[in-house]
Amino acid sequence: MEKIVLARVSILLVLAITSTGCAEAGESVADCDANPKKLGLHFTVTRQHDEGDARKSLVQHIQLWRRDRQVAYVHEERELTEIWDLVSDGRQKLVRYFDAYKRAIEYQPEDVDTESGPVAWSERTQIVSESKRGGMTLSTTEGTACERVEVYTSRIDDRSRLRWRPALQAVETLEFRTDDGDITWSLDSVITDPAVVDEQFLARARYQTTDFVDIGDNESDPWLQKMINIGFIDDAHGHEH
Amino acid sequence: MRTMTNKIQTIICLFALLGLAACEGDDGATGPAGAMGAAGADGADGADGAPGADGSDGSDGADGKTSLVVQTALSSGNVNCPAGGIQFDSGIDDNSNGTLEAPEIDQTEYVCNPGATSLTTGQVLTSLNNPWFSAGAAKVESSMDAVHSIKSQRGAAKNVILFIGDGMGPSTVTTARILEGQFAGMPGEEHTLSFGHFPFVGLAKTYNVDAQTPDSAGTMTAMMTGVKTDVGTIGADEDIVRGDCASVTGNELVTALELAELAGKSTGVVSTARITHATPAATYARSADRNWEDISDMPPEAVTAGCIDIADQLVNFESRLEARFPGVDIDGLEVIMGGGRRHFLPNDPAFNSPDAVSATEGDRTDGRDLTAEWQALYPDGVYVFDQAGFNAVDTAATPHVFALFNESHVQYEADRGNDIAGEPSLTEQTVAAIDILDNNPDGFFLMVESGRIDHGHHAGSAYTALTDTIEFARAIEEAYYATDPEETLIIVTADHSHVMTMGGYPKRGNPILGKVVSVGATEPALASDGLPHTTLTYNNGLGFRDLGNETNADVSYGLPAATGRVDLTAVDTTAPGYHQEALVPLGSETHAGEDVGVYANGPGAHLVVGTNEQNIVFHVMNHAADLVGKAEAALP
Repeated sequence: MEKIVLARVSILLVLAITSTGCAEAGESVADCDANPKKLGLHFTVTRQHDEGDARKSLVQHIQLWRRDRQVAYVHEERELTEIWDLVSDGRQKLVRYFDAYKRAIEYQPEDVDTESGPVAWSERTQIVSESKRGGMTLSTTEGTACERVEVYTSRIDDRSRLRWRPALQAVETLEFRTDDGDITWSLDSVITDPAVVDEQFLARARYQTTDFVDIGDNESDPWLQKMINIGFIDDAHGHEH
Repeated sequence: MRTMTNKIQTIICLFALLGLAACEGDDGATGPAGAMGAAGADGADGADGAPGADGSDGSDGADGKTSLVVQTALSSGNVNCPAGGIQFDSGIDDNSNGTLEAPEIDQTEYVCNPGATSLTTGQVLTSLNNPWFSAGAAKVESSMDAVHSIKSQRGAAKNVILFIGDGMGPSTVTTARILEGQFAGMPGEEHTLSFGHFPFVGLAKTYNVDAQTPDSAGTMTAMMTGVKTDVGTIGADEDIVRGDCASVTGNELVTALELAELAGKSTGVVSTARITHATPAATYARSADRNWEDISDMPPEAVTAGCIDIADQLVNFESRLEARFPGVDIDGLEVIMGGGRRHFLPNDPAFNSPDAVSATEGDRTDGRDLTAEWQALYPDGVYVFDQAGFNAVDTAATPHVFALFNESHVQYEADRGNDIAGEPSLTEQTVAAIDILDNNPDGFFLMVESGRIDHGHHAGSAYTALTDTIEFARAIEEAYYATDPEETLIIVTADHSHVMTMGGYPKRGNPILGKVVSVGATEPALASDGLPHTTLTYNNGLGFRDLGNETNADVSYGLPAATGRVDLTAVDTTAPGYHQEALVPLGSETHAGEDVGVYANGPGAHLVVGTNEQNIVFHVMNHAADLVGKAEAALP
């Protein structure tokens, strides 16, 4: 039920962007009236890897929402949303929203993600950090205003390709290779309506939130009991083809 | 064996028997013939004859049997002569073989050496020169002094300080003292945490009325009110129903802090947890659910029914207590220090503190700023939220302090340096609290909680739990020196335990957070699976993490549980970010149901002995400070 609602919202938002975000052809990036600090980006993420002679593919849909010093990742198939806050001292704070349950677990700054080192805020909000993009080679540009695209390739090898929308500070497509296979991010739609963006955050702010360190003290809460017994609730996954 | 034989001649005498014979009388004159007269009477018996001559001597009797006596020396430890001696066996040598054999023994007697009634210095010199011996003897002497000097009368304590190490079970105390000792360069095992020096110790059974393994709400309610109650509920007896607002009414209890306040003492609450968290809340609030920390946490029906959130109860503590006891005029909590700003601020970023970590710090959905309301109630009081504000408090002159150092819980001691605006340590908070509270000549009641020992364990991080325990012990030590032990009862205990264990057979001085190295060995011992193992492990929880120097134990919550055995060969298990292996995979390590220690010093401390229901803590405090009596006396 929840997933259906989310999908419907996505369709409406796709329609909204075509009429609000972009300026006329021939104009510069500066002429794009979209606010890159407050918008929504819908992506399809495809992960491919070889398994024997077969090529396996996993497709997931991820919404990325920016709102000032906050960024939200909505993992549609997992019914899970992660909202990151940029703290005044540069650290990042995470709240995980379990949309199917309307419950949330709140973490302290940098409680997570340290195993692989801190993630730059620009990477958190753009998928590709400024430093990584700066390390790639700009090969071509095309389009204007909101539709302007910069095409980058990896300087070291040809394993990474990036089509970048500078007006939105957003990935249009990103292809890169990892030890686990090839990953592609493809931008499906852009939402620029501030009210829609706000609602993504405000709706989840109404969820019942529990501090992560208090989970162990709430054994009588059925949902948290489930968290205690099985750990991180992650029972929804992407679909394989 | 030496044998001595005596021969005794037995003489048998024979005696002859003499026989005696009687004599006949003379005949009568001849009479006329007549009738035959009657026969004459018998004559008198004749006189006895003279004694006969002695018979000849009888022949000698045969020789008697030989009697033998056997003397046997007995060594010390003999069952009949513990100090040794001689055993005498005597009897007839029936078979005349010159040996007294067992069947021939007629009697056995002992002559025992006298037992020793005292040890000479020489006899115990080895013990007296042994430091373990002398230290043990000195401890007994000091314990005797403590027993003799205790002030036992009711009301002898002017001040009461209750220290709660949340989750500080026996294994936590033991391993924390070893770690503190090792931090000081010692082997560690011989070290003692500050409160380990307290003269009186007992045990508390921690179960809740409805739960075998308890939580902080029920246990702290027991300690603060003297009445055990249900898990998850605060300030009411067991008739309360968790989550049912209406069930609070009629089941409310009075806390030791409230009694102290009514008695005219100063009162304070300090915690490294949110000040609305279960343990501190149980000192001042009543709630059908420990999680009703602010109005946004409460179900609408509970709000409609008139239940008040815990943060609201704290800020309006004075008026609420006055309402319960009409006619009393109290001055409210003098000291409130802890975390949990989120529950006192509106859900509006405009109210964010400078060190907020969330886009919107406050959670309150009623639009109220309780920090401002508190300031209006106590215009001479000081509200602080950071280290600088804390340092600026004049403890000699400030009548009320309200300090909320963090949006949620205060930082772990090991992670305190990462706070944006800075936070004082628990020791700093404790000393400042006492400095404010002891301005009252009638004394004070203070509760200090180290709330994050519990959180470190829940995260499966022994390092974090133990370093917070060490900081807790420092706070207790400073409190001891900041008060007069003649008039201050200090009790240190835990609300419950955790499932961390200390095991294996590590050698003396082996790093308590390290891998087990056996006695005489230099390399880690291997388990039957061929892998090294640590001294500390958890029964359940998230299990192994290797986060290096990460001091925030809660990082582990972002990762899936990884229980079971891990190859620790290349892992530095003493690093702050190492999380111990666990057996049972759970999303959060759990409390344990074992007893916890209760340590006491000062007037009334002698009552802390034996194994007790946990609610005895209240009754000890009540006896020591006569809280009920003085509160009643103060009522109009």
